[in-house]
Amino acid sequence: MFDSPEMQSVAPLLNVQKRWSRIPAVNELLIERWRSREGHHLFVYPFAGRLVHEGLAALWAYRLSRRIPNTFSMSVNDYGVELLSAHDAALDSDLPDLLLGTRDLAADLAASLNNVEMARRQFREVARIAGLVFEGYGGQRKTAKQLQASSGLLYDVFSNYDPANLLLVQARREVLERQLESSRLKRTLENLAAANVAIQHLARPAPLAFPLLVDRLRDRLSSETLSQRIERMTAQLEKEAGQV
Amino acid sequence: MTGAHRITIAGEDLQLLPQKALWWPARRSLLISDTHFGKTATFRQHGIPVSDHTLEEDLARLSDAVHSTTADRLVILGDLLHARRGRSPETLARVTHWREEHSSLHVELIRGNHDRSAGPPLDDWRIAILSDAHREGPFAFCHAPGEVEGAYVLCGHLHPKAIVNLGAGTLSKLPCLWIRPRWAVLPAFGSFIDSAPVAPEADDRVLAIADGQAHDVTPFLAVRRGRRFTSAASKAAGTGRPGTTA
Repeated sequence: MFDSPEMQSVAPLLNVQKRWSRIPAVNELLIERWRSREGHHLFVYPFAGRLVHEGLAALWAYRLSRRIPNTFSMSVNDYGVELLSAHDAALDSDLPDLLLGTRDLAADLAASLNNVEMARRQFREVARIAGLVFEGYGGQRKTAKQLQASSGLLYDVFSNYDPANLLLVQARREVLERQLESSRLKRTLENLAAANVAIQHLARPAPLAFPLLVDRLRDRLSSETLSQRIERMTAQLEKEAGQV
Repeated sequence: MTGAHRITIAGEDLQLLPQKALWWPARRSLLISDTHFGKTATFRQHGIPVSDHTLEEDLARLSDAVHSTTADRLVILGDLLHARRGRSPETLARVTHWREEHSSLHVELIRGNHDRSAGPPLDDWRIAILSDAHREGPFAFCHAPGEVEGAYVLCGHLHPKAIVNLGAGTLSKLPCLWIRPRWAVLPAFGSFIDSAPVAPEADDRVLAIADGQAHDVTPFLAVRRGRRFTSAASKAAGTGRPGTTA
């Protein structure tokens, strides 16, 4: 297997992956868990491509966030998904059903979309084309000062007061169609459900996990209120201050 | 006050209210800044369909702040009105109506850059115009930040927001009161307004508002490094890994 130059160059990495974690077999779904200063990391490797993984990440964060008030940020690449949470998301034994169950999939997907930034980002495109925001030609004054409103601000205002706004509806639909590829997502979940789930607890991030860790594009989702999160962090600091 | 955060500035006890107002109990005064009334109407004038819901909510929130404090006076630190084209009959009528509901309240204004082109407040609103850098106690009331000899400046104009590192790789942008050695910047009171992140320095304090509560978030501020944010705490420890832009 390791006779080509490509395989030879990647062999040391695969070796590390094998020692620190596991190399998933063909019919296996690998899940890794790791605790760091930042929180609780959950890595899942469907190898289904980035677009499907974006949908899976949002779906899983949503389902996990319904168990206890928790805060997630997500990271995806072509190999897998990372969910980083403030609190431990679930027991090992609960994970397969939480992540792979297809019951309520459509409803969960729609709900997860409301909590993440994808629709907001897509709205930026829609707003530009609709002429609501103007990004300016190079070197010129961007827009009359009176009309400065970011697409994010418009998205918030429409979401709060005009949820049936056609531009919003379009943004959401475009996300679902383009980025989530919902039928592919369902098929991916069905395939994963048929696989053996292998859960590894890591002492340190293994090679498969590392690119997800350093991925810049992270989405976030929370079922804690902002106030709860701030209070939690304040309490932690005070506790640490008391111990020093 | 529910959800308020007490703070002492220039020897005076103040409270940041979750309604995005600063309460000065000793003078029974509420201070706000950057209401930008008429901004939604301005957008509609230019063909962008934004409703006046935010204006309604802003006025309701202002009433809430007045009632919960039983303030005698409201001081607006500038940009009361957004633009001349935003002086729609509906906008003006809503503000007039609000004024009538609080007819015994004294209302004073420091004019901001938007006010200069938007035109004066209506006579019916009975708003007293204060001169810029109006002095009161240890404070000077201004629209934009800047030093005033022998006084601590309370101002607005910047629409400050705090980027707060809330752990688990998340950053939140929250309206805030930015307290600096010689001046403090109030959050924009209006809700249809974009905010700008604060760049805090060592001795600054930042109080942010989230979910109806004001919090001291100074220890949790994310510091902008180029296009990315790092947590201030990890930057100090020298071991932080970069966070992400919100």
